[in-house]
Amino acid sequence: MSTVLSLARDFIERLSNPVYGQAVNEDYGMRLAALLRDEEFARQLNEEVAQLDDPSAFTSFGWLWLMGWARSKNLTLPASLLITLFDQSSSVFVRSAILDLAVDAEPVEATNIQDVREFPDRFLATVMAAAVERDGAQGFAPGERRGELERLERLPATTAAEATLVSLLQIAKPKTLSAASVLLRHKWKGEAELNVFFWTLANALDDETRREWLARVSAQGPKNGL
Amino acid sequence: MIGATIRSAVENSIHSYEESRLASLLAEFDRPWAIKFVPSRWAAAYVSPGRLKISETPALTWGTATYVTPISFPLSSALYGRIGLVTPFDATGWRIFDATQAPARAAYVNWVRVQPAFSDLILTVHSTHANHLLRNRFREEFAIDCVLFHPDQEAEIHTDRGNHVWLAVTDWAATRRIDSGMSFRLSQAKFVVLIDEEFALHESNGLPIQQSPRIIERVTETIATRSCMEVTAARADPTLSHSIISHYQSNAYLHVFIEP
Repeated sequence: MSTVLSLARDFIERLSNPVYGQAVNEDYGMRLAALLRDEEFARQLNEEVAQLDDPSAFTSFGWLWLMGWARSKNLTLPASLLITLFDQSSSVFVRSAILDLAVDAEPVEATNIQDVREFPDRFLATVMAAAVERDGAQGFAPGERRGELERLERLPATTAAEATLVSLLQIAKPKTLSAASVLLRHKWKGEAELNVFFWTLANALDDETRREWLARVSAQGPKNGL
Repeated sequence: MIGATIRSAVENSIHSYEESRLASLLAEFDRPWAIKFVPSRWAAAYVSPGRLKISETPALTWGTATYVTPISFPLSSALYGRIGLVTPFDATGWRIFDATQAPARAAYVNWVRVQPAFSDLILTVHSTHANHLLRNRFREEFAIDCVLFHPDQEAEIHTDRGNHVWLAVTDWAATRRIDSGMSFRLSQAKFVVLIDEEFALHESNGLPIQQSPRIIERVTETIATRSCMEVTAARADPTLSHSIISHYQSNAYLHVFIEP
């Protein structure tokens, strides 16, 4: 990490981490702003931010601030770094912030795509593939009826896919909604559970909002046996 | 991805500046003015007009914004420091979301409830950041230039949570994203007010304080005998030591002040 970024890192951590308290957060926000009045410092910082590749360079609070900064200043962070951060985070909101930064507002044609790995946006294809590959190992046959405990043990863990789906929906860009549709129809062992999850969310909405969701995301109805 | 009823409830709570409560609050002044108190270490930075800092920290009421008070409530934000920075601003055409009104607050809550990540907001430990991101998203989605809200922290006597109004002002970056850094909308701020009082920002348990007692005046008002001395005179006064001892012996206090 360069000198400028090393210096800025301490400031960024102290201005972004609620553990330090609002007074410290605000104070360091002002201090960093004072440094950023120097155009050369700001230019160098922006340049170095765009070249970051180490996911351990900041805490999640620091990354969230940095992503907000990058977003407002129209900076890009390396896709490989964002994919790693996305994979490491369990927070839907961190994931949403990453998607918001990584995905542009352009639409994409994905109506006929059934497999997340074939999604035209490589970033989205990668994070969706990671979500279904990691958690789908422990499957069970649809309609299988055994003891409840055994069945629960064999349910595929869809946690990562659910968090990815929610993040895609939350950002609600044309591309992320297309990706959500593909994720919901992707054939994997957690497909049915993920669709049930989606419908559980959708059914909790008022009628108008649910219609809005369904108009923009194509999802299958919940499958039986769940 | 929200239904028409929720959307129109939000839109109904957004008014142009000219029709807003903010315009009425500032009607008696030649133009809109705002004030913001900051810690005294920043006084020197605002001897000449400068841009206020956009607050980006997560634990703020309405997300990333410049938090100020209309000049109509001049001491309302004294909780945050002894230096009052004052700036004029141009609010022409601003879209104002008036969260001092219950229907507006309900509209926001209903908007939050139908967000895909709503469950994660209320069921995980990430709620501080979650709220921050959702508030930013809400303001971007509805192109809100300014949120009016009642203070949620109070400096004893100086702040009236029920009647005072504070502002969260949005600066926009390209493509209608909320900007960070320094504000262009509140950009003529000067050090204008120095107040002889301090407040604690946190409870002893570390949580943000709700009502902060006056630290200095609460004590001085209990001391019957007081006197004051201008600071340059005090520094040059060869009898100052004796005067201080005399104040001690007569249960008085001496206020060494900066000449305005």
